[in-house]
Amino acid sequence: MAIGGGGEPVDDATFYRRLARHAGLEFVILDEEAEADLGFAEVNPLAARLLTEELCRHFNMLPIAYRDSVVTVAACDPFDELAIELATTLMASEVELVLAEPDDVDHAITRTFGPLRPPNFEDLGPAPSEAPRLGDLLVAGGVATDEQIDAALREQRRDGLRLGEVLLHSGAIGEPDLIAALAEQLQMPVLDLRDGQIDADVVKRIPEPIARELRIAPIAEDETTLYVAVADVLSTGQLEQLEAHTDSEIVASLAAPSLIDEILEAAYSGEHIDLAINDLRERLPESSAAVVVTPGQKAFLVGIGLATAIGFVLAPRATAVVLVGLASLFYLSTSFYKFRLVYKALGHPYEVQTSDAEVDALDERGLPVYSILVPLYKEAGVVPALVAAIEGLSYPKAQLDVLLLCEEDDEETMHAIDAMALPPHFRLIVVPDSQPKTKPKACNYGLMLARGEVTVIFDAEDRPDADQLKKVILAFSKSKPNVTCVQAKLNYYNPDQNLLTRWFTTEYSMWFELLLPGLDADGAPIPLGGTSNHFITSRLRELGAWDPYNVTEDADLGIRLHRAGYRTAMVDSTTLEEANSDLGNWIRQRSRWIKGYLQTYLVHMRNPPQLLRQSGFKGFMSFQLLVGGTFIFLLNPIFWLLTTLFFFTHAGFIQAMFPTFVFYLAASMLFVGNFVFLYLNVAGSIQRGLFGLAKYALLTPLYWGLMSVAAWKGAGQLVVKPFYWEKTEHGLHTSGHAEPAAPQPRRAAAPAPVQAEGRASDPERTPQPAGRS
Amino acid sequence: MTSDDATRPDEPDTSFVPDETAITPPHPLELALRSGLRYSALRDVALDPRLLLYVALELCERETVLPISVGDDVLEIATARPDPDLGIVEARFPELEIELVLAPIERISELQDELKAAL
Amino acid sequence: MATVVQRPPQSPPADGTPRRVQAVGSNAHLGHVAEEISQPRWIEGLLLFAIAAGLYFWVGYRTVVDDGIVVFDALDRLARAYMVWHNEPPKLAAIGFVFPPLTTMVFLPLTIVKPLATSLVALPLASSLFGGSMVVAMNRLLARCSMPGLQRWPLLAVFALNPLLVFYAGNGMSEVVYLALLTFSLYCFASWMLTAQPRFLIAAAMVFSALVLLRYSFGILALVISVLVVVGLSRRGAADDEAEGTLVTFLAPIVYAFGVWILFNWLIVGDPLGWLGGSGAFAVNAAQAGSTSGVTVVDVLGRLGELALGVFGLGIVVVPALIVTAIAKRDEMSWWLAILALVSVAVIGAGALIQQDLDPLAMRNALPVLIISVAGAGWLYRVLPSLRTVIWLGGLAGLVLTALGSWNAMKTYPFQGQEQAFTRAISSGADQHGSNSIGGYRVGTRPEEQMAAYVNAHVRGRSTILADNAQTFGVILLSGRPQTFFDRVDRGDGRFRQAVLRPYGRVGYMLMARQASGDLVRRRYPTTATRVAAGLGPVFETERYLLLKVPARDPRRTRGAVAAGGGQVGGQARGSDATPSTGTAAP
Repeated sequence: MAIGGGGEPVDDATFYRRLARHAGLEFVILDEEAEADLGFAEVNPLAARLLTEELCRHFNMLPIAYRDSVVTVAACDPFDELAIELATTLMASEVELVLAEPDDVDHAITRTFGPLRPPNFEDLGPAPSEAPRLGDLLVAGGVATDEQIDAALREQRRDGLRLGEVLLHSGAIGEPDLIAALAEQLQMPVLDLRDGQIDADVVKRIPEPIARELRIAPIAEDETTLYVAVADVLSTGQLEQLEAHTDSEIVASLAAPSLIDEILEAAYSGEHIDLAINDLRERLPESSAAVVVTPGQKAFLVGIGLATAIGFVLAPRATAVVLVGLASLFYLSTSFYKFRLVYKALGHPYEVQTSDAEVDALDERGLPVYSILVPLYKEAGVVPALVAAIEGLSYPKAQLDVLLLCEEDDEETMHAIDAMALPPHFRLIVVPDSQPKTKPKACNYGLMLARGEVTVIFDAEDRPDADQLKKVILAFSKSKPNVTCVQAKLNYYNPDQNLLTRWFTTEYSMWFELLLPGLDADGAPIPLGGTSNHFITSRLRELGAWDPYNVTEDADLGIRLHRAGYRTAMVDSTTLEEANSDLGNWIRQRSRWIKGYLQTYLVHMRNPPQLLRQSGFKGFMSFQLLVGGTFIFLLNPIFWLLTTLFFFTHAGFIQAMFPTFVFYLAASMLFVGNFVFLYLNVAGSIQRGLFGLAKYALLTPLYWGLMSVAAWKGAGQLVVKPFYWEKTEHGLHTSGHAEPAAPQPRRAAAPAPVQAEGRASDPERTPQPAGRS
Repeated sequence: MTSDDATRPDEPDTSFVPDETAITPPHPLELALRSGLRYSALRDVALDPRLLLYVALELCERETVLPISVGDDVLEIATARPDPDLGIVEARFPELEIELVLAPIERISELQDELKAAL
Repeated sequence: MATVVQRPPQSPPADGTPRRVQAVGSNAHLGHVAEEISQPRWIEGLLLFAIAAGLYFWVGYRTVVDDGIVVFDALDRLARAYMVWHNEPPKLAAIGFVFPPLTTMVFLPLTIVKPLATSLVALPLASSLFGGSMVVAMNRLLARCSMPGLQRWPLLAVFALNPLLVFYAGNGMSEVVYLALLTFSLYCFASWMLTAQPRFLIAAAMVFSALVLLRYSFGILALVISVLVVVGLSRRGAADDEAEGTLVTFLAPIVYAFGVWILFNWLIVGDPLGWLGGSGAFAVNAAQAGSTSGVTVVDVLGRLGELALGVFGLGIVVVPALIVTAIAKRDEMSWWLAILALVSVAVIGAGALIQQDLDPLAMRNALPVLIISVAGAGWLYRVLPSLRTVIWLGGLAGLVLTALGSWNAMKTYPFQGQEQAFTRAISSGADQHGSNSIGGYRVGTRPEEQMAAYVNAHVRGRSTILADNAQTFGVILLSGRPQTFFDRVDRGDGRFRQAVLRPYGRVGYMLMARQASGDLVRRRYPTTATRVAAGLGPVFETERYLLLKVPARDPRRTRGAVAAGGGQVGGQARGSDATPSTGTAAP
């Protein structure tokens, strides 16, 4: 044998096969046409992309498979330490090397990345953009399938979100999978803090708003270093700022976003609940209903009372006439105003109109994060239906931020939520046990944690139209910049259950189809309905959010918003709710609404000149007639009694109370005004296409009678228990409503008995349809 | 690191090899004779750059060696000295027998240069 | 290392306005049903209103206030409206319970201002306002029928200048009120047909609830429309629910209006349905027509033919055309209009036959048919696009001929209310006070003015002249002092009748209409003999009225007491006519 060994130079196949054997490595054939050959190895295209093309070409190697954190890399040089080290580092995985022919590898690289382009050696370094792609990592790791990645990529093209978020919110992968993949991608360690105790003082080293915005939480510290859990990699600038602020070196580790939220929530819950309860009261005491009647108002009321009493002693007839005259005038004005609003709205769609085509054409990539607050109390049963309703909303899931607000003592509901293993856009928020236990307090608490640019409240049994959120986004975009709230219409899905629900539905139809749009058109303050009102989050916070001491916080907020110069618009989208079908239950609910309206009236009338200045004359009058119009329900029984007495007895003293003009006023109200209002209920039903309800609307005067009962109950409570939240039971509707899911019995358990006990998150909006003597 | 004599029982005794500091290095042929290794002038060697996968160029230059062929079980390496430090190669290819062939240092360097130019 | 705990600020630093998303698509605020012809702008309506109302008022003022062509029905309503505010005590019941109440109530806003009523300016003023509204409503209706302005306005002008309409748009009668409302309701129905927007049906229903309180017979039209609505909806395959809801929506205000009226009549008069049988005419200024007897179908048809030529000539062509169109094009609204016109004619004829009285065949009663005919012509214009020019020209010519026919009929047609005097006043410009007009009318209010002047000059005190205001309203109104009179409104009919029986000590005077058989005072004291017997001495009289002085004590009672040894209420009543009277000297 001559020097130089084998005489004829061996072919590559032989050479490298032998080299592999000598190096103790597996030899593989990557040529797809040699599939049948021994040693053929299929190249996993996603694994192949774990390294950049440049690296692969430079080192003539290619990752071909990924399993259990080990990447199999096909190479030609079994001992290229630099290449192996780079591959190991960049893929953050153990590398198992296999040998292949150079041409074979080269072809495989070309198959993976396409034909060779002019190399750019500057890019050879491990820059972040060169990091392996997340989807590849997830597929390579067997966490997600190619199909899921493809679907997610398609969705990503539509909504512009990050791939990981899309996969996560679609339920394709879990949060731990994503974090593991991210850690590999970003070359960062992962923290698992589930069982660790974290010192709240350490958490507070970084101010909460910054922590929330960056989604980071400090978890430990030593003399020089602050260890921070992050949901995503921080930029150099952010790091520098944090280091400057904390005067420490920042060491970041990845952690699940939900975990970071939990850490922050645990550290700040005490402050949050304090803010939820007291923020408005401390910051804007004049707007808080924590004080029912101010000393000035007390003096005024006592003065009026005294004057009336003296009047009755000195000139009883004249006093009675003045009172009756004022009341009649008030009736007439209220009726005229409401009629005007409604009649205007009958002819013109004042809601912001959004067509299906516009909704379809909406670019999801521009959609903001949308927070949905759902206060829940003892309603584990409705959780599945609620989740179904929210999942049915047409909005990118990754842009949803659903906060399920549970009271701390409501373990049942929390368990129900936990058991559902909801996707990460649902967050269970535990509202610390505290008084007053009202819906607005829970909402305030949730609002502090809300991430959305837009925030909406839904009740647990609500069924919003699927495209409501998109319509609202469109409505905001079409409205003037000072529009801060968009109110969707509310109606009921069980109108035909009984007479009460029929009345309730006709009332709602009139209120939401006609009256509120009329107010909207007039630029007058709109007393919001308790659900389906969509806010610009930052402005809502600026306004002090909801008043936890007001039992119709929704209506109050609507007025406060208007006074601050903001506006509410109506949108042509409906949320269906359950109409109260039980009389006792109805009276409780209505008494709370009326009490709340009285509270709201008192709060905003603490400084009438200021109200006039802020709302303008029109707004001021509208407030008097609409919110102040609540007093009519208190007056009604008195007038009904007088009328009845007069018809049967022709008693002189009654006649004396109605001198000519007052009598004409009262008579026209009695015979024309009442009918007009009754008829407007008919009109509302017809307008909404609820033809079958028209005849029941004719019986509305009986319904007004019930309202007066509730009004007196509410007024009494305002004196005795101003913050008591009359709870409303739900799930009384049992007929065959199957879509989307039958509501479950709600709130059967007794609430905690204190002032403001038993807060409920019922459909708490507060219409005030007209009724008169 | 030195070559492990114990693993090579058939290797000739090299204790008589003169000091490296000797002014005139002995001729490789002389060394071959002395050490019992084969000698080659490396005249008709077909260069195969692939062999550098067995012995990296860097090592070749450092130890003045050159892999010249590989068979099923044997790796032939030309060397200017009878005792190059090839521990790393042995470690990487434990199953492979390394056969040293003494060759003129100039020729090895020349071939190394050719290889480098070919790469 | 020390930790810095920061209280989180109330709101995050981010500016919170959500990203504005570019909305795609057209302006969605334009959510209305598209209309072929845009509705007239408000300025056009205002202009038309001003022109029409101004013209009507001017003609009305000239003929009513200057020339004295006062229709006494209107005068009665005006007096009642005046008493609602200015009676002592003011009483809503002054509206009365026989006539449709809205005929009086339309004057209420005007009679707050006393001189408007006592000068009778309120009569042309009220009418002209509604006349203007009628023209505006007709303009909208024609626009709804896709008729462009340049074609609309000439048609409107000829329509508005129809002499019969001009007369009623200035004389204070309620006709023009319901004509305006009828026009508006037809506009609503047409709009409802075209757009299906419920608000039009709602508006139509509310208008109809007013119409029935202006003229009870509109109740019949309402029923016919209900049937048409239901038939129309079911033909279009609407669900029962929808038909029912629509019917409820339409009928509710009408039924309610009747219901309240029945309730009032029941509570106040005691007869819930008394208004149904009420007699219409208070022809204080007319010779009492003898009751017509033996009204035959032939008579009625003949008169209806005269009315067709004299009042709604256009309808003779339009109604058959509507029927043909309705059949040929299966057009619902054509059916509606044709049926409404025919029913309106039938109601007039049936009324005459049932009451055996030709009064219902008065010209004014046929005016709704004219309105429906014009609306019908407009509708034909809309549904027959290929014939628009023909229809427009035909409509114009028809309206001109109708106007000429009306002018002619006003001069000759027997059943009318001073239309003849109106034509005289228009053509000659002469004052009509004291002249005669077909139907036995003596035109003018001089007798009322003279009596009122006398009362104002010589009578002091409150409730001192006993007078049946249903007959002496002219005097009461023109005196401007209803408090001087003790009438049926003050304390109700019961007290009034008692006072008629025993006026002594209660009132100082009695006022009666000399020719009106309905005058309750006159009925009690119909002859000079009875008056003398009752001790009532004439104080002042005019062509139509007689003012009597009432003694403080009943002369018969004084004597009767001597004879019977004691006064007795019953005896007074029984012997009232039989007792001779010595009379008392007039002051």
